[in-house]
Amino acid sequence: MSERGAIRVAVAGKGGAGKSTVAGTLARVLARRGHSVLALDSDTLPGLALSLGATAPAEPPLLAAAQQGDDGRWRLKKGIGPMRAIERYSVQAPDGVRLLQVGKHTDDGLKPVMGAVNAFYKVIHRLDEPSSLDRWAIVGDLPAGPRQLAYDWAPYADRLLLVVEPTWQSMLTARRIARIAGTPRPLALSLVVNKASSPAGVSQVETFLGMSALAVVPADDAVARAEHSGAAPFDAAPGSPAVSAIERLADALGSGSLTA
Amino acid sequence: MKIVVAGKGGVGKTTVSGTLARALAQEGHRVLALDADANPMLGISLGVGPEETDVLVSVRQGLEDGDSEHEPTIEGFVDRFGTDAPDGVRLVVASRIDKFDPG
Amino acid sequence: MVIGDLEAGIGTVLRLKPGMADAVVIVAQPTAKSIDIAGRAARIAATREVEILVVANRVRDDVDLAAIRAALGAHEIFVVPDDPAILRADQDGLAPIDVDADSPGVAAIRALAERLAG
Repeated sequence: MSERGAIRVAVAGKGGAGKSTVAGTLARVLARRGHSVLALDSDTLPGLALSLGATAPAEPPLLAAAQQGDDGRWRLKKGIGPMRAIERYSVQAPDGVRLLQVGKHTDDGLKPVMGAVNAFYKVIHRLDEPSSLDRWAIVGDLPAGPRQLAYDWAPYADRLLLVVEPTWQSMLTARRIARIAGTPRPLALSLVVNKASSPAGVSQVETFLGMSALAVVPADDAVARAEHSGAAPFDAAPGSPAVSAIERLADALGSGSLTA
Repeated sequence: MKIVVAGKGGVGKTTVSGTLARALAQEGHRVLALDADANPMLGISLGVGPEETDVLVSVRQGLEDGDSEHEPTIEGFVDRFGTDAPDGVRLVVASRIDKFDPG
Repeated sequence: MVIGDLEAGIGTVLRLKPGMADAVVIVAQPTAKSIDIAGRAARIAATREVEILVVANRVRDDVDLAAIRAALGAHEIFVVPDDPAILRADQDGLAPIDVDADSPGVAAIRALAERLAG
């Protein structure tokens, strides 16, 4: 929670476990409930925008926020604090969610968008500066695996949602992530079991990680179809069991509803 | 023959790699399976077992933590840092999981 | 024979230099995100003088296959259907080839092996 009690989570897990689906749908749920929501996408491969229902431009807006000095180092242009970064360089998603994206891989690699990658990293490290952002919920989608956490790519988060499928690959990855999370800054860990198809599968994950699930999201054909076609589950399958489970995840995170 | 397997995370790259390696070995080929993922899981798809896979010492770990002698040949490398998987497949894990490359 | 399981994404294909690989196997699932990345990987690999083969993974029906063909049809595609044996293998931490060497998914990968080795 931020100083004002806003939800601040990062979402991690093995590739394909459903991080972007959970993060994107959670962001939409919170926004629909009246929260101001900042969605953060630090994956250089596409994912979160689709799950949010947003259209991201080909060139990342944050490219315009940074400049390279003579020493080759990237710096944020003057005056770009958290609120200005959101006002100028984020992408509009439905329900008023603002999406801030790191640069995405081009056919020529990451070099053409390194400014955006650097700008993103700097901006997320300024999100704790006092500003009207204190009241915003922040949901951050991390790329697959443990690496970005080790390099402090989720400084805004006080809670890490481990998204785990009932497979050994997913469970082992979650354990690896759990082991390195908490450095350099404290992070509460919560388990979200995704694509669950049986109580036995859920128990297996909980037992292996030694954690009770904060939320169990069932395997859901409607959501799978939405993801397959590149549509946001929140729009394409709003009443589905999986989206309902993410509504309950929002409750469990303490969202309540801001619109009475 | 050198084959690399690519794709988005979660599409089944590692499952395909591991099964391909075992299939080739069963056809009589000598197979070296190289796990170059920062989150190494290839051992599971090869049949090495999950817990065993999790504790595999990577090449980099072996070099950085322990012996600093140089291994002059690739065969020597594979001998020293590899693990046996079923059907005679030899598995080498390229990256270490407790420390990371900026990438 | 060397089988390299690369890090997820296209960064690794971008870093392939001549002589590093003889063949690139690109794995795609019938999802928008995966097909996008697979298409990009194929375009990049095409400039690297390697043989390119595609695995269409977890294909459930003709619609799934058509989606992958639309983006990657210029290449030879090996179809690995949604296979309960492979799912069970993942749940139990076993090699799919040990769970059922003749399941449709495993058989498709064995056909890919023959194609590569032949």
